[in-house]
Amino acid sequence: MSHAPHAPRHSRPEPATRRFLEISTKQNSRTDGSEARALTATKPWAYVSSLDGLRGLAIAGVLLFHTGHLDGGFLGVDLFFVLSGFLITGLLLRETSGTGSVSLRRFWARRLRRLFPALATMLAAVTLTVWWLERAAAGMAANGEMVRTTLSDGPWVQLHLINWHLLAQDAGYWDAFGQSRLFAHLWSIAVEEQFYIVWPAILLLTAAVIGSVIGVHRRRDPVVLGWAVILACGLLAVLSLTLMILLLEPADPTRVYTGTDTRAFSLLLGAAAATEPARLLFRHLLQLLGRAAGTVTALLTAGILTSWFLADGTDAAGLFTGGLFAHATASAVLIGLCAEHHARPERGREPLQAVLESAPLRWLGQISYSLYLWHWPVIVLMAPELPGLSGWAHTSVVLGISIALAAASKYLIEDPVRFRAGWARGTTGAVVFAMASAALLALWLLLPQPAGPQIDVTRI
Amino acid sequence: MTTQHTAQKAMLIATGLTAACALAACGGATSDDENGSNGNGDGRAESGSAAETGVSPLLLLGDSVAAGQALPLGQALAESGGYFIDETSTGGGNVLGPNAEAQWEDLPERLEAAADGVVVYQLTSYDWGTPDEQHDAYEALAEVTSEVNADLILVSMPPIEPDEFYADHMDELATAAEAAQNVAGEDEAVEFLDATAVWGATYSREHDGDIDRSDDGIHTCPQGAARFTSWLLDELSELYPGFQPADPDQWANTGWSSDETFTGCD
Repeated sequence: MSHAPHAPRHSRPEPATRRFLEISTKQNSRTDGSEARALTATKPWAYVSSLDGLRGLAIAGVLLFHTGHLDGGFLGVDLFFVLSGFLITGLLLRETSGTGSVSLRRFWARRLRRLFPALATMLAAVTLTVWWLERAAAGMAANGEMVRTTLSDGPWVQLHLINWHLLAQDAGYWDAFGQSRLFAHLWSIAVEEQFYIVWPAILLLTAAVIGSVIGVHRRRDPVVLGWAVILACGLLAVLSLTLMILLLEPADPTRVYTGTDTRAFSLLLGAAAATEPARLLFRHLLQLLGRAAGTVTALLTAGILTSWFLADGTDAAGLFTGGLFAHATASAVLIGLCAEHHARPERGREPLQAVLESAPLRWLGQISYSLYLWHWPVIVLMAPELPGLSGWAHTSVVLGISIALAAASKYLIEDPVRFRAGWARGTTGAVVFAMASAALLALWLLLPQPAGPQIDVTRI
Repeated sequence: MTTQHTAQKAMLIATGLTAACALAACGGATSDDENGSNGNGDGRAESGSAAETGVSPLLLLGDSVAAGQALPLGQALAESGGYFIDETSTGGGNVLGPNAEAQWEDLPERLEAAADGVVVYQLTSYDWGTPDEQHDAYEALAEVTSEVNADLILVSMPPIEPDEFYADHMDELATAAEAAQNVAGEDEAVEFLDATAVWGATYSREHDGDIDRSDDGIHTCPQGAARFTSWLLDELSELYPGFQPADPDQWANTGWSSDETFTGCD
């Protein structure tokens, strides 16, 4: 099974963004209606620690799914999608409300700094490792076929198109066909990357339409902009769900499971939850529920997790005809409630928050991107046939190695590049990115492929 | 396995957007063109003699199982002076059963490439239906083939080890060969070839110690695909007097066995 879920997104505005928000707030001294609302209504959610906890739950589900312990753990990917849509859209909307526009260059540069270093490192390390293992005949699960698929899949990962490549290769996600593909799990990363490329442009277009229809100044009104985004999200999400239903092949739903078009609704529902009207709705809902809010939120979480235990892969009734959509909707509501609850600390700390904000779960969420990147290659390369390992013992070893690699990736690569590496910004950063990309391309092209099996012509 | 037409279109669009990089990246990572397996390159080296025997052009229809066999077949036919056209389709290619309608939409047009030659249809693992439905579908295929003045050769599929996906359709697949044989008996322009001589009556991963079939229980591996190719060329030489298949030494080890179409073979 080659499912793979996802990776993390940020929960904390990056330093540059925070500085920008502070500056823009100070500079906004005009007092016309929309400007005032922009200043008062969009107090940033900033870092929401419980969302890291949700990431931790999501990656745990995925890990248990891929190690054969939780048949519905693949739904963790869906939670990742919703989280990504929510967090990214929140950042974009804040920037739009503050400046009336979005700097695509800065946005994509941030995305690259966030995602590329860990990904490139994993790609290179895994490729060289499997190549060496095959040449050294070092056993384990590495073989010529695996090296060939790794080298051929690599460029598509780099192009953020691996999900479409795997579909074209007929590498069904739900059968054993993808077992030898070390990068099969990156389909979901590709879906998110494609979303990151397209979505800001759609938001800009939405803001432009608002500006042309009801006045330029109104596009900075978070409520007006929010309603427009909700409308866009709603239409696109319904279209996405419709495509999922129409394109579904019950015998093998790989197409609808890994297609960007058919999975977009999860990202879009997360995006809708990040808008100002949705935020107001969550606020009112929490006020309405009063002391029962904690119980309701806990029940919502329990419902989502229960679905992970009840879902049985493709056999789950209605999974692709509304089930995933319902899961994404519930996830979006939960995320919105968690974020709004976090923004109102006077409400006190509910039991659910205590769990989601617990240190182990938050830490798991914080390393979830790298953990997601590394876990599948580790699982494939460390097949259960390893002597003396099976069941939970094997799972423990696989997860232990994956977590160690993920932690190293987080602290040695992700964080330094995001927060401390001055060379990763501006022109220097672009040059480094281009050079690293070229090096990866050279890796795919120049690394000698193992020869295919020799045909015995005397036996045909 | 799933129908990939939409995905392939999307991939092509996306590839176009990133053309330079994609071309650079994929040129060395795929081997289809090198193998001439898509009717390009070596596959176009048609000789007059092969065409005169009526065996060329030869167009192969089938699903992803046949797609693996198309790799050596394209090489072998090219070395034999024939022109090979690979019209197999991963996740489809069937003339009845799921999504067959999509196949029929442009099938007559695609078969025009086989004008005055041969169409080989390897029964697919998706040929689900009643015996009558199977008969009608193969008969319809014979009709559109005759419209381009080509012969039709129906070839039985390799026996499979069914997983959950196929388990409920094994009874239907079991009647497909007989339906094809009946159509061949009714139409002089149609031949039926029973490939049991190649694969055996039931799925077997190994043949004489060689890995013939993928561990997925469905697809073929290079050695098996090569044995099938050799067998089919021999059958063609009997059906088309004058056609002389190339020696396996000329096509068996030309690089196609490293194609990533073959999985579960190491």
